[in-house]
Amino acid sequence: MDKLINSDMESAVKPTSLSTLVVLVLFSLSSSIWASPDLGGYVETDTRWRPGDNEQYTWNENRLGLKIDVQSEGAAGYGELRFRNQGFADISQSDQLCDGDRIQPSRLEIYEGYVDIYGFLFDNLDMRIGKQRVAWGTADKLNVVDNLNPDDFEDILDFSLKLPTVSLRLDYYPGDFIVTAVMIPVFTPARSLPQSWQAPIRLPLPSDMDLRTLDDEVILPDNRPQESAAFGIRIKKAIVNYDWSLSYVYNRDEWAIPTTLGITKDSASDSVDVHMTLEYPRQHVVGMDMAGTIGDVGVWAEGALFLPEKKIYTRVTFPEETQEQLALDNKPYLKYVVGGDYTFRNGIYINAQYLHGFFTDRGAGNLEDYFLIAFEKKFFHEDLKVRTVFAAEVANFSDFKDHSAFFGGPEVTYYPRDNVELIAGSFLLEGDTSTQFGQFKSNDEIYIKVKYSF
Amino acid sequence: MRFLQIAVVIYVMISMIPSDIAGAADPVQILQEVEDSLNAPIDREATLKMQLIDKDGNTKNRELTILQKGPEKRLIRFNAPADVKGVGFLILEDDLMYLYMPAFAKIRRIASHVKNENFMGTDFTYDDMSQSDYVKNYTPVLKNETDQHYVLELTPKPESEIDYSKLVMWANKQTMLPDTVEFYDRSNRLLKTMIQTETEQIDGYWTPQHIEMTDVQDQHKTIMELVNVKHNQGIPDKEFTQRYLKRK
Repeated sequence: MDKLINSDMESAVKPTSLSTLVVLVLFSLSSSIWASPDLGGYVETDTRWRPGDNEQYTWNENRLGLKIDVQSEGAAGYGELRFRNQGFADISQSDQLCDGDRIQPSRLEIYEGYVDIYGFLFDNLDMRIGKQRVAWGTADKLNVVDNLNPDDFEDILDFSLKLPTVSLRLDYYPGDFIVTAVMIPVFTPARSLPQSWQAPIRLPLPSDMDLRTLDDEVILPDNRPQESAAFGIRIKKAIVNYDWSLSYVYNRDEWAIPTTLGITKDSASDSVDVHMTLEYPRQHVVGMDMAGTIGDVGVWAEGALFLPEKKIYTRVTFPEETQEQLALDNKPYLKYVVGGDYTFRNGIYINAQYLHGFFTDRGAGNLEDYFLIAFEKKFFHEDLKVRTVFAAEVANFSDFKDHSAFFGGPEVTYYPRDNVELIAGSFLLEGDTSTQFGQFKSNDEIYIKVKYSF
Repeated sequence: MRFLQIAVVIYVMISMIPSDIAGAADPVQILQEVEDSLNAPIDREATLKMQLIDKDGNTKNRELTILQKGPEKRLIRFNAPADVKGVGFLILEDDLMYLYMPAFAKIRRIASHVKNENFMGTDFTYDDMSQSDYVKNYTPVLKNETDQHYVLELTPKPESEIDYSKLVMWANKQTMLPDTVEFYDRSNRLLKTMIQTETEQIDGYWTPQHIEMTDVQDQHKTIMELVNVKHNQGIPDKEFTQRYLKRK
């Protein structure tokens, strides 16, 4: 798993050459070529603390985001750079104290960098090329049809984030239709949770074996189009006052699945050393989403039918024998989300969603259910916003008490001046340790963020 | 003789009532003329500079660009402050609203429950910002008439879902635009007052360039200045689509 994290870190530090080129060109372009380049950005401080028996700081970040937006006749360019001081001093010996990056870990990310060409080839065709986010779906953040960009779980407080990827996007507007086609040439894996949020890996070991060491190897797809590329197409249209979309994606699962487990037994004890390989299988995803209103209530729904291209087996090699265990069946499985929102006359906004199948849930029969409800109220002409989220994870309805978890928490945002946000909140978890969120029930967090946009 | 006295008194009383109220002016017709004046340009483009002033005098600023075509189509894009820059609203017929938030790279459908919420912290509700169909939503009564104004009291029609108990509008006889509008809450207490001034003809259309909306209950005020106003530029329908909403 360390390799997975490290490889993600490296990809963040070493952005692809195309996106680098796009952003550098944008930042260096003179206004004589592009009309009025528009520079903006933000500085943000984010500090988090975990109270309780395992008390510790869990997040320490200062971020400078720089955005540039340049427009010309029929074209535009956009880039966002993120300079991040993130983490804690990593010092164990005195000779490391001269290493600035160990004292204050820092990194540079090109978050997005792309070029738009409007009316490309045809009046009704727009093209966007470069590192970008392609966001599909109508639900509020829990978009099961949004499968082109890989998950970005770096920040558990915003588990709906996705990693922008270098893509070619075409939007065609024939009549009342919107047809979008996307090609992503290079595979990008999902970014895992931070170390302190990673669950212990559950290996299919016999009960009489104790795990001593585990090392793993993540096998990325071959770096060629047939193996690495992903495609997507979506057709969108308003019908009877509702917006409908149909979509299809052919890609690789962004979360790796174990394909081999090599188990070596220590002859002096019952402990074992395990070597695991993980791969990213191909899949087809057929999606549909809608949004509209019933009376004054906003409603939405999404469904995504996942069709793994083939069965994935984990080849488990014991000292004496080899077994094959089914890791992912090729049976189709359906994830879906339905939700709605409403603002009461007293100004309280409520947003409720039911999700079947979390981002990381895989395979028929392995999909859990989630209920999320958020309340929000703004005070003093939006100078103060109070929001609280309450979510329940249900792994098994028939044994709700022992297979459920609850998470969420309140958040207060104060806007004392234009462009200034002061945020304080908490993320609380409780539940059975067999559930995705319940296993982190000792990971409650309290956070303070300050952001200034310019 | 007594009959003659009564007749004289009735004549005097009637003659004291402004002639329009006595029947010459039809309040629905007046309101229709106001609506026609508001919607007279085929299209309009303007920059709105807003100052939000609280009861302690603290000020916040908003700037947005608005494109309008006919009474139904509006595209609003925020230029400032920086934390909402690029946010766009597309408002179409039948309360169809879309919100574009660049940070999420996504267009989201907005239901009409937000209509009576304050628009981005201002003293205008979403409905105030798009109000141009008075005749459809209100029943007018002519309450008074002066040399300069018709004073109309507008009561929401039952099906209109308006959150005010009534409006009182001073419609300018020359421009047929509302110079002042009082908004009353559901308890029939004065909630807000909107005053439109610096009304000049731009491209042949009367256009108020200074609008103040004061929330008298919260002692909060929004001052809106219209600049770079252009009319009848031939804005095509395609600009009021999701395609253009997400363009920066």
